[in-house]
Amino acid sequence: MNKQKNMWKAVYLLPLVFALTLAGCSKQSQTAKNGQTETIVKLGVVVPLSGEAGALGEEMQKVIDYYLPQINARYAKQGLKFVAVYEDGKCSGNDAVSAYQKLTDIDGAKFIIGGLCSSETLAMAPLSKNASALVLSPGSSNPAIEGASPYTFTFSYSDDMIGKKLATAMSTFKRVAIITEQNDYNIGIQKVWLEAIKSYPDVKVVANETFVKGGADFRSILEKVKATNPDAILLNPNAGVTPRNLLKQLAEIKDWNNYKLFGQVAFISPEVLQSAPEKTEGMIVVDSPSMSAPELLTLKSQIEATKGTLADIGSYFTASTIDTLNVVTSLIAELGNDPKAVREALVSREFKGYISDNINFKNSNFPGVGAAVYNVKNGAVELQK
Amino acid sequence: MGYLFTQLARYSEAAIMSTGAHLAVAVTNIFFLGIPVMSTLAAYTLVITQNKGIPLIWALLLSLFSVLLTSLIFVLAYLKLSADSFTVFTLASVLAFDAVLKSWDSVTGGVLGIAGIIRPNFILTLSRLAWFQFGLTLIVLLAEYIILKTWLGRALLGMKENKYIVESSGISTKRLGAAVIIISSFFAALAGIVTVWRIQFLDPGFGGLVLLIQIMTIAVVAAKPKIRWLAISTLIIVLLPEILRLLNLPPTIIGHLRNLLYALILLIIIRNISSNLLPQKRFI
Amino acid sequence: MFFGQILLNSLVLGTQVLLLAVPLYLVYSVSKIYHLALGASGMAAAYGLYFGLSKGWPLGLAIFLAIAVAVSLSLISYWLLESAARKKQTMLGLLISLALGIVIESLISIIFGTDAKSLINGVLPIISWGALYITIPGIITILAGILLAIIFALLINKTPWGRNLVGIAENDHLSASLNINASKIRCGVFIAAGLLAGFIGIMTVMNTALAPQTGFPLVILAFVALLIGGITDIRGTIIATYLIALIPELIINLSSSEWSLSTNWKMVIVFILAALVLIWRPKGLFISKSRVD
Repeated sequence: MNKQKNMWKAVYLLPLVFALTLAGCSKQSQTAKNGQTETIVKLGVVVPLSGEAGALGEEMQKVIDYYLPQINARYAKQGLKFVAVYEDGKCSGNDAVSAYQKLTDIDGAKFIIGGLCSSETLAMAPLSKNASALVLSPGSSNPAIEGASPYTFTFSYSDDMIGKKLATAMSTFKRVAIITEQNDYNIGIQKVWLEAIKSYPDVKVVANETFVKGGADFRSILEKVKATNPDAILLNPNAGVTPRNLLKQLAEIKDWNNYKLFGQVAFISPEVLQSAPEKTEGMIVVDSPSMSAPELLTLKSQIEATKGTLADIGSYFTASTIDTLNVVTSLIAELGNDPKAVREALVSREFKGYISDNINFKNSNFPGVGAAVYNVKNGAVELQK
Repeated sequence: MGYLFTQLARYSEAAIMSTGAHLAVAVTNIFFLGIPVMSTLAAYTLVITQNKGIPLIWALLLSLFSVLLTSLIFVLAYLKLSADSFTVFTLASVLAFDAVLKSWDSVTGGVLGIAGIIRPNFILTLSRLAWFQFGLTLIVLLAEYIILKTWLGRALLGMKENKYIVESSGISTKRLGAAVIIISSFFAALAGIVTVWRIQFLDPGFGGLVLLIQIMTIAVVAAKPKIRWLAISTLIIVLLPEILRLLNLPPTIIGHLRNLLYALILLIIIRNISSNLLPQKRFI
Repeated sequence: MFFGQILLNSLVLGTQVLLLAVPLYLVYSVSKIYHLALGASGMAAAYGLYFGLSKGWPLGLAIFLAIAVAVSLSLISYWLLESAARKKQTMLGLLISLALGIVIESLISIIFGTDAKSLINGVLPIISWGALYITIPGIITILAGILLAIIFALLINKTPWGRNLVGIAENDHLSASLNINASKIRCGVFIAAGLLAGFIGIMTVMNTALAPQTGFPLVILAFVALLIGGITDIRGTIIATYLIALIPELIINLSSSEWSLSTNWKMVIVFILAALVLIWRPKGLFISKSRVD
């Protein structure tokens, strides 16, 4: 009986012991390799690796895992080695905060790549205000990031740009409708679009429908929108299978064709557009500027060949992830593992990358990337001239 | 040290919330699954009222009052429905409340949530907050200890064993059940408030099914109506995901693995020690 | 025609919920346990089919795998819940089934990931009558649902087998003395329930998309239907299922302008409906007479 009690005591105490061992400060590791001292710099990465946005986070991880060795080769002579330490943000503010705490306090990371979802980045922003870490998101686009923290930046375009561009593109129609997925990214665009469309008094929003995140049956929503007889419909789902389902179910309604379709990044991919080609022909898609640089496309193909598809994050977020890594590692190599110094350099310089030839954070937490308009022709997007 | 204080804070939050679940499930055998609803409601009410300029103390009172009102709805359901129907009803309330939070975005911020929540001045730093939460945990655990040692606790245990005998000794089991639901809701509200002070960000993912699984696992693992079992059970369950982080498992599966482990622990414990969750067989 | 199409869509959704409510009712009939893991089991069977098709297996083999998954999960459910059923530990049974559902969902997420998948590429074939239309999987769902509902309603209410089912849950010792093996019958019911859940899982994902978390909201809707309809009467369950599918759809689709409600309010409407009905009729809308001791 005493043995059993002692065994249970050991079981109960074990987690406590583990927790206490995690409480120490972490030091920058220095390992000797071939006689040279190598300084390891930890880059915390907070992206959703599980849950509904898990596919996006996994693809971002593929890009980082592929590209980081190239960066390390670049700085090997300086004795620098960058190591990515991943934490699952689960596209949730709560989990992103825990991940941030763990990365900064246990792993000693002073730079956080992430979040990917805006809710992750917005949750970490207040924590970064004390310069405990510099947060650089490759993919968060919610306008609320502007001014959230002097130590939080994003390499994504702002939803503000996309929403306003969509409103402008649809302003020539009298009766417009929007169908939105209940997701932080899509709701961000919806809010900006609804606000922007008000500045066109001749345009009436006849339907403003939302569906649950990850929803799969849109037939009732489409019937409701159809009943309002819109001239133009903005489809605003998140990337993945949802836009395909939405298009397929739209195509099932054979006697409804007198409208123009508009979309955003979820409709950039040819696989999505080809799920209902008769519906998407002539569709207008607003997204980031064309990521058509041959070097980027080659790099993306190489990543896909070795690590797997990047269909969900697409070219822009592949480019933004690479640019984030390039910028932060170059500044760390130059100025050291110091968030304050790197931040000062970030807001005072301009950088060249795949997302833009002029990435600059001088007056904004966003990189100053605009939006572009594409037409869909024969199942693929073409940049509108 | 920030990580240690975060874990202390998480432990305190889980312990406060699970005290209510423990009282309902392990002590009284009322499977009240609406606890995440109460904690989220308290958090949202506090934040929304403060954002409207209402002073902290009034915001706190309003928050607790809103939880009290909502708990009365659950009390009504408890009085009207059978035990398992009440359980399913409270489970459905978690999904329904989640839908309200996401859809009523003019009030709750919707899926974008509410960021930059300010802590009270006396607990501005994480260390102070963590110690404050720990102190609150001790008070809550003491409260449950006192409850269990008084006639109320004995009546609750008796209700689990044989409610007809409790009724025949002149104690209304309906009132007892109602009291348990209200007390559990109150503890859940406290936990929700201190949690939102730590995270400083609030979105519909605050509560939900993941939180429900965690607190039900704690309540069931605690099994016996004893405070130390609750305290230890909370420690194990809260620290389990941290141990998983150390195992260098692929990050893509850690989140699901945590839920899987909680559910497996729940299954194993229920199957093996279910007799402790049932009326104690007394031999005279 | 708008109203007609809404009715038709509600009929499909209601039948999807009904096809989950019937196995729930069956399991409840023999064990007095709400089997919350049925939704996840149904999705697991659909994933079995998806796995087979994605590996290029013949359709028959993929269907066989789906059936094997459904039967295996049914047997695991039976093994976990049998002792709770025998000892009338209904609350523990509910907790066990909830935990089992989470285990299944987590395993699916780990193995297949959480991103949604399509079983059928391209636009679904439809049948149309004027302005009304319905997809082929939708019509199969409705026909199968109505047929199965009628069959089970007749079996349970009109046959000795049905009476044995109810008798087992009331008193399995007495049933044993009448040479009715309660455990065997419960096992059979669990397998039948699992197969039904698998069938509806596959039909639902054919009509929409496949994701690990699809099963749980459907099973909650089915439970609410059971509660509203009255858990002692399958006819009540059938009627209540269509009510909880139709009423939210009508409210949402007929709302307009500044009072327009989107589909994300559906669960709230269902919950309020359930609360109102249960406050008025706590035992459900349709109650069977039972013996009072």
